[in-house]
Amino acid sequence: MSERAVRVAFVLSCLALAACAQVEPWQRGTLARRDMQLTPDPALAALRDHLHVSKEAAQGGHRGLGGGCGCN
Amino acid sequence: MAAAATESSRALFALTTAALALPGMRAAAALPASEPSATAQFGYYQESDSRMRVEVWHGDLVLPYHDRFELSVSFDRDTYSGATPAYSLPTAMTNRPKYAQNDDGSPASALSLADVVTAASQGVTAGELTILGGLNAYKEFVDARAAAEAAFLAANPRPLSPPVPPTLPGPVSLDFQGMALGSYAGAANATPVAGGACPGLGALGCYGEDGMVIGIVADATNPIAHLHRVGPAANRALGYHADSSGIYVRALDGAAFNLDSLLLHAPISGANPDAGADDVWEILGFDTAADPTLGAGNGVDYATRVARLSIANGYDGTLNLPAAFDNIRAFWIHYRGYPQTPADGKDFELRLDDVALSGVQATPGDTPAQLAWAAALERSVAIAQFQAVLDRAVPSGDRPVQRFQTQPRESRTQPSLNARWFFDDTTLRVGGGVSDEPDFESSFGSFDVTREFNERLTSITLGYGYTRNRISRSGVDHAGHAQAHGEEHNATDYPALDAHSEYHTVTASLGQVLAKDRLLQVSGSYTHQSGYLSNPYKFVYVRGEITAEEYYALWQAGAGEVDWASVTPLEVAGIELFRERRPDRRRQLALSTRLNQHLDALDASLQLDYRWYRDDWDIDAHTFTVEWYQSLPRDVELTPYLRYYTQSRAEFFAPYFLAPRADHTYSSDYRLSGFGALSGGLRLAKTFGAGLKLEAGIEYYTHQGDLKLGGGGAGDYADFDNYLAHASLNVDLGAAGGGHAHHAAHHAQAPLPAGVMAAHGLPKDGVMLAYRYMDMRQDGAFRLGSAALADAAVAAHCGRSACRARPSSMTMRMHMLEVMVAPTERLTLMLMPQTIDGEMEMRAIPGAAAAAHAGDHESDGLGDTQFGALLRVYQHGTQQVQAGLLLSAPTGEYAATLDDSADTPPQDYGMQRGSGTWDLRPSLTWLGAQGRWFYGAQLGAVFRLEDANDAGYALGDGWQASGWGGVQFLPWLAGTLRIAHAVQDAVRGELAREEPIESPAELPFNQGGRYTDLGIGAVATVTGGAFAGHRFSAEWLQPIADDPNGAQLERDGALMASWSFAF
Repeated sequence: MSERAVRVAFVLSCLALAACAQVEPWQRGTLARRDMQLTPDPALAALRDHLHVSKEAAQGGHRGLGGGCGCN
Repeated sequence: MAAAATESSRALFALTTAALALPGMRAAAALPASEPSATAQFGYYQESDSRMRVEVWHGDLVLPYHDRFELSVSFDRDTYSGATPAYSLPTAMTNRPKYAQNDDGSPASALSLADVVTAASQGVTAGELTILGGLNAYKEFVDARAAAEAAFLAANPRPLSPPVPPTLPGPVSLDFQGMALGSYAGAANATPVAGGACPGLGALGCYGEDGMVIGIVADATNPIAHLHRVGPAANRALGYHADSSGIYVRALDGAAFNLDSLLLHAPISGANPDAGADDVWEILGFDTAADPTLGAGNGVDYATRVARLSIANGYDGTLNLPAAFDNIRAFWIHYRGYPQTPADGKDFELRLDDVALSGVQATPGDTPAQLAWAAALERSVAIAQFQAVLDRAVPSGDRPVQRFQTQPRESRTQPSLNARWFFDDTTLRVGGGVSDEPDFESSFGSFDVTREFNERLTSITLGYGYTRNRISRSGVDHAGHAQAHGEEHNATDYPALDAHSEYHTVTASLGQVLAKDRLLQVSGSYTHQSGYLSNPYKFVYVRGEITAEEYYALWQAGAGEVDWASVTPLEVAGIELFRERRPDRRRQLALSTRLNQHLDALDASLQLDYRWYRDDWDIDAHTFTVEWYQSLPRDVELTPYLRYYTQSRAEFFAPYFLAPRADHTYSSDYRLSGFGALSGGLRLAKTFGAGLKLEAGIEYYTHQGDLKLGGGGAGDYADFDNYLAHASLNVDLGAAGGGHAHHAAHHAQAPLPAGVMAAHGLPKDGVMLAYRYMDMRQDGAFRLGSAALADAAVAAHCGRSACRARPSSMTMRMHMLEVMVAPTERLTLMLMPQTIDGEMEMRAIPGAAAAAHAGDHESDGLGDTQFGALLRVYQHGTQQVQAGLLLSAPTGEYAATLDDSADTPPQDYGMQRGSGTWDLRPSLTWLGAQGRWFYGAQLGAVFRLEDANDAGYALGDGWQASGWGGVQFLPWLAGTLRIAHAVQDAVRGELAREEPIESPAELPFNQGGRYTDLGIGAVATVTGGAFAGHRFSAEWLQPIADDPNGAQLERDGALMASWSFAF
């Protein structure tokens, strides 16, 4: 990564952090909605993950570990 | 100003604190759930073309414990079955003509089509790969022989044999012209003296001509026995008459010769008078030149005799000898019955002349050069034949064909536990669990730490997880197979699979609030996998892992001579087929970014997610997910979902391999191929009040080689699609006790025994949720009516044939979910899905033939689903009457077989999980109460709305009457007493089956009956605190009078339990 890119990334992240700093606690009603949670339906997400891990090669990312399976 | 500033900051602080104290106000922030909650979810997954289908159950419970600790438990169970791809091969190697196999292993003439690449049903032997119906049976193999042989012969003529002289220098004709003496008394069969002559000299010796020795057979009874010179000097002949034991001829050197013909003069005359049936000349050929014992024998039967011809006396002329007289070393002519000189005065006379003899051209043994040539011919031809089958030209890019194997119905069970501790800015989570299925056991644990910064707008999570798997393989009985086929066919003797793998994962995640309606999460995970990472049920076709030369060696190997490990490092699983082998290490890196954006104007939230993935198996993958949460009026939420996934192939993946790889890693598992997948779905959720959320959804998924980003996917041979339907229910358990008027109204109602269903409705807008459990057991003796039946007598209750086995115990468990909603004051709607879980143990009937399907049977899965309505038709004070009308939909399996596959016989009626027909269940209930006392009665019935289900039968109709009374001992505890009588008709029609009836439970007329039970139970109601309104009840039903139809297993009783709560 070039020095310029690092600088741009730094400026962007500062801007991002600066932007959020303005969200006061009483403004966070929307963020508290269920549909704004990172995983609004954990059971369904786990079901989908299990099927995707069974049928695709990729895994990982946001979600952590479950058990392995002998899936066919 | 300073004071104002301070006040304003105090006000701000107070507001902030107050805001933070509101539940849910910390976006993505760590707070324990405020109330316990539970989720139950059912998913059904089905692939196209009757491939895999999976039923997925999930349940979880979140239990907060004060404000610092939260415990959650979850339970998952998948039950799966169906066909799954096992391997793929080029089209050119499929459907090749092959000779059928005879029982003895030899190819029959009939041709059928078979893949060259084939999986063995059990283990493999070298014999099976080649001569026993293996490669050698393909038409190409057989047809290739002629050309291969011709090519070899053209290039390698057979080495010549060295010349071998015949035993006699040429044809010899004994004309007896050289007889110098009038008689010769030498015994030609006696042990020769040096030089080969017979003992004795001159007239006491033998006559010799052209290297042959002619004399008599030694005769102990007549020391002067002799042969005569007869005929004029110009034409001498040899004379034999009744003064000796016959003419014996051999070569001087004992060599073999052919006796071709001779001139035999034996006309009937005064000296040769007899022509009776036994007056015959015997000509005997021997394989031994000299045998002094002949005279002592019977003149016919000798161990050394190899030819015999009997010629009637009176013969006069040339006699051509049959081929049996070729290659003899001596012959003897004598009169039948007189191997020695006649002592009884018998007269006979013979003249012998012109005996034609020829030399034997000995067939020499093959020379070492010729033997080597013959072996080289066979080897070279066979290798060319193997090559003709194995190296069949495969056009570049020949379309792969996928072959499947059937996955028997199995289940995976995964309980897990998670605990979270909450500190001021830090959350610690520790969790773990196990996943258990027949060939794969996994245990896993993980922990992570989340730290919040920046007014809780930023959070960072770091975590670590560990998984350990134990992998085994069933279905291949190596030892048994090797035994069955013996050492002689060289069975593969790979040890049973018992392998491990382990995963280490580290995760890091950054959550950032970007705006009051926007949230970002960036996560990364790195996983290091090691150990056995292959799939034990996937195979690969690899050309050249076993060469034509090696197949030839396998074919020719003697018993126990094959060292499989030196043939190939892979495990051989069939003709040209091997178990896949992946590297034993895999490092995976994934980075995900998620953005949540709320759109106030639309009352919707959008979630965008992108994941980048790469591993050192060379797989790159990208995943894009969009989900739109649309809130609608009446607390309904509609969520469309779209996902695109693409991956490149693993470095060692190919649909088939036409050459071996240097590192011997191979996989043809479609999940490691290059492909893309597009999926989309829609789900609908409805929230009732504060605490109950119901959701149902369906998703469709298509896997296609051509959907791979940038092209170059695996093609379309492995394409498939699937759908996933799910329904879930989420309950905020704390909300149930929230003091709603409905709840009060509902549970102001009198308690009910646990076994009474569909008895009372709810007030308007009421919602009630219940879980019911029933455990019913039959055990012990068989009954015919009210009398016990001995085992031997049970045998007579299988209709036309005699029973071979009978159930010895049976347990039925039912888990039912009951959801009730009351849209009006009088009407309550109900939905009751259930699962059925049955176990039956069978016992052989003494003295009966062995049952083919004895042993224990299990049956579990979804049962029939009931739904309908309750109408309050009368109410006055505490008295009320409810009319119920439920429909039962045939969602349960009604033709389940012993292991849920088509080739096993059906389970008996009691083990079926559904009726297979739409059923109507009307009921009428009367309820009343007075002070601490309460009572009621219910009349219910079930009518089958169809004559028969698709399997050919319908369960009988039935009705049930019950009455009960109870007393409220304490404000929270009541006891109940109930009497119930039920009548259940026998089964109509018959469950279609091909197998003979073996057990009485398989017959329609041994079903149903009349039953009377006494029920005793207790009902506990939580009257205060967080769980107020929850009600638990249990009841034991004790059979007191049974009158079953036909012969049936005795009932032990039933336990009913339920848990309900209302909103």
